[in-house]
Amino acid sequence: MAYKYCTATNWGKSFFTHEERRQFHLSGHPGEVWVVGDNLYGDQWISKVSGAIKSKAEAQAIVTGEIEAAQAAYDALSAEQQAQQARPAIYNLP
Amino acid sequence: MSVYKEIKGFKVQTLSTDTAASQFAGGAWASGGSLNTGRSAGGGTGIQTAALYIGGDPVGPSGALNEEYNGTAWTEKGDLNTGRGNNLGAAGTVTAAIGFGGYGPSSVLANTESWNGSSWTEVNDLNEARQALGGCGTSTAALAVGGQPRPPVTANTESWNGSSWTEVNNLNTAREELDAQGTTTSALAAGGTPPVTGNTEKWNGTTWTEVSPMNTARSSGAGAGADNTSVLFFGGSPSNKANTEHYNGTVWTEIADLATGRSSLAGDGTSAAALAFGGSVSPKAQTEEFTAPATFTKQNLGQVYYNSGSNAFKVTQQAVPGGTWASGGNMNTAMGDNAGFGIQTAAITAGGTTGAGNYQNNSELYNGSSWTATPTLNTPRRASTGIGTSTAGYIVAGQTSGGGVIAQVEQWNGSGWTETTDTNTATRGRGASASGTITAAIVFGGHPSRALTESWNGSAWTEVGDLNEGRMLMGGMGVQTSALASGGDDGGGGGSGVVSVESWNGSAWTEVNNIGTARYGGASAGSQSSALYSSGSTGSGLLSQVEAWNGTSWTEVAEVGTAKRKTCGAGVATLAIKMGGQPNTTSTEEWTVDQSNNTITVS
Repeated sequence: MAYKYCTATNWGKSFFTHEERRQFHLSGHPGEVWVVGDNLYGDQWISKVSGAIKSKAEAQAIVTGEIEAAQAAYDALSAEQQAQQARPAIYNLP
Repeated sequence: MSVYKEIKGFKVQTLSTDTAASQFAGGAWASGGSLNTGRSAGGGTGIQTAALYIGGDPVGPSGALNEEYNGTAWTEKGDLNTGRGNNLGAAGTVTAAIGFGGYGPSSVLANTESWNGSSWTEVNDLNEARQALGGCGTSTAALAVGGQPRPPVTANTESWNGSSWTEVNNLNTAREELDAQGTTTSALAAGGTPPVTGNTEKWNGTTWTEVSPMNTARSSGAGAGADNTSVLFFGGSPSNKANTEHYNGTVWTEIADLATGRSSLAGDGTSAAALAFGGSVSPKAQTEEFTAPATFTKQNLGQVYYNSGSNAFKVTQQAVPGGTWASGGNMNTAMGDNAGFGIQTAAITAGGTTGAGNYQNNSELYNGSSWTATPTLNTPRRASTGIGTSTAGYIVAGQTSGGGVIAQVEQWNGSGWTETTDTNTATRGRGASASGTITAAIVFGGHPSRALTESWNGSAWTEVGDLNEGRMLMGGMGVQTSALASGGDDGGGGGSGVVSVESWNGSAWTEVNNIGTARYGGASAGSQSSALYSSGSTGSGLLSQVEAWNGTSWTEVAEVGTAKRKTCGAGVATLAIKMGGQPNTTSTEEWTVDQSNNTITVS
C-alpha cells in the first residue's frame, strides 16, 4: 500500500471521522505525524486538516526525534521508576 | 405439555425491502434522463418530475441554454436573454421561475430574468451583483444568499417579492459556492467556501442562525428541500464528492451516495424526491433521481425478517467487527496512565500523569462532544482503575505523589469526589469490572503481578477468588458477577505483556481464549460476552491493534488512529471511547458500530 506523510494537529471531534477511517488508511505517530493512505480520500483528508506534507524521511525524522526525547526522559528516571515502564523504542514508519 | 411455538415455530415478518434507520436512509439514487447539453454551474429549480436547468458553464453558447425535465427526459426551452454560469441563483417552477446573478458573458451579474413557461423577461436586478450564490423559493418569493461579488465573498441576503429585491439580514458566515433550499420564511444555507465548510445556517424569515454543520465540509454541492426542516445536500468539492446528507431540522446524517460524485451540479425537488443534474464530471449531462420510500420499516436491533425482494432472511444487528474509530473531543489536559469510566457520550477520566512523577488529581467529564473540568480528586494518583457511570462511580487505588501505592477509593456522585472505604490492599495497575455499580463491583490484579480479587458490596471490600495468572494493567470489563480480565503485564509494568484472558462468574476465574497479541495498558470496554480491548503496549512498542471478544474468541478489528499505552476506555463493545494515554495526549477516540441488515444463512 502506498502512503503519504504529513503533520497535522488533532483538533478533536471530526479531525478524522468514521467514514474517513473506512475510506483510507490513517495512523497517528509521535510529533503529530500522520501516515495517510495514498488515495483520493486520503488527499481530501490532508487538505481538510491542513496537513503539512512530508517526505517519508522527514516524517521518520520527526518520529525518531520524538522517541529519542522520550528515551532521554526515560533514561533520566531513577532505576525504580525505570522498572515500572519500558524504554520507548524507535520504530520505522510504514 | 406441548408448547405451540415448539410445534409450529415462530412467525417472521415478510418485508419487500430492507428495514432502514429513517425514511431518508432508505432512499437511493437512480439514473434519470441525460441533459441535451452537458454543462455545470447552472441554476436548477422545480421538482423531481418537472425541473429547469438554467444557463451553465462554459459561458457562451451554452450559457443561455434552458432545459426542462419531465421526469423522464430533458427538452430544450427558450434561452435566457443573458447567458451565464458560475452557479447563478434559481427559484420557482417550470411554468414560473426566476434566474438571478451568476457570471457572464464578461462580468458578475445582478441581472434577474423571469420565466413564464415559454420565455424569459428581464426584471429588476439584485442590489448586489454576485456569482456562486444560493437561491431558493418561488418566482414571487425568493432568496438570494451569499455568493461572490468579486473577492471577497459576501454574507448578503436579498429577498424577492415578485417585482424587486430587498436587502434583509446577512448570513453569519460570508461564503460562496453554497447551497440554499426552502422558502422566504423557512430556508437552509449549507456548505461553501473559503475555507471549505460544512457550516449550516437556518433562516426563519428574519434572521440566520448557525446550526449543526454537515458531516462532510464542501462547496459547490447542490440540495433539495421544501423548507428548513428536511433538506438533502449532495455532491460538492474538493474533488468530486458523491456524499449525500439529510438534515432533519437538527442534525445531518449521511445517506446513500450519488452514483457519480461531482461538483458544480444543480439540484431541486424535495428531500424525499430530489433531482441532481449536470456538474463537473464529463460529459456533464448525468441526471440522478433520489427517492425515499413513502413508507418504510424502521430498523430495530435484533429484528429478524424475510426480504421477499432478495429472497433472504435477514437480521438487524451491530456486528462489532464492522466498527470504526473516529477522533473524539480533546481533553483539556494531556494525560496518560489515567483512569476512566462511563459510556461514550457520558464519560469521566480522573488522575494520571502529565510527565514522570507528576501525578495528577484532575478530573474531566465528557458529554459526547467536549470535555469539561470537574472538581478534582482528593488524592493525586496514577494507575488507578475506574468503575461506574458519569453520575455514580469510583476511582480505585493507584500510586500517589512520592511513589507510594494507595488503597484509597474516591466516589464520584456526578458533581464531586468523596473519599470512601479503602480496598484491603494498596496497589496500582488494577483491573476492574468497569461496568459495575457503586454497590456491586470487583477489582483484580495489580503491581507487580498480583492475582488478588476484591469484591465491593457498597460498604466493604472482601477478598474473593484469585486470578489464575497474576498481572497488572490488564483490560477489565463487565460487572461484579460476570467480568473479564484481558492481557496485562506480569513484569511489573516493564515486561512485554501477556495474552491470557480470564472470565469471572461471581466466585472464580476461568481461563478462556487468549487475545491475539500480548499487551498491557490498553483501553477496554464492554462486558463478559462482548468486549473490546484496544491499543496498549508490548513493552517498548505501542500497539494500534484492537481486538473484539464475542463471548468465545477474539477477532482483530479496525485499528485505533493513534497507538497509546496506559490509556483507558469506557463504554460497550458497540459504542466505546479511548481516553488519553502515553505519550501523553489530550486526544480521545470513539468506536462506533452501525446497525446493519445482514443475511442469515438458513440450513
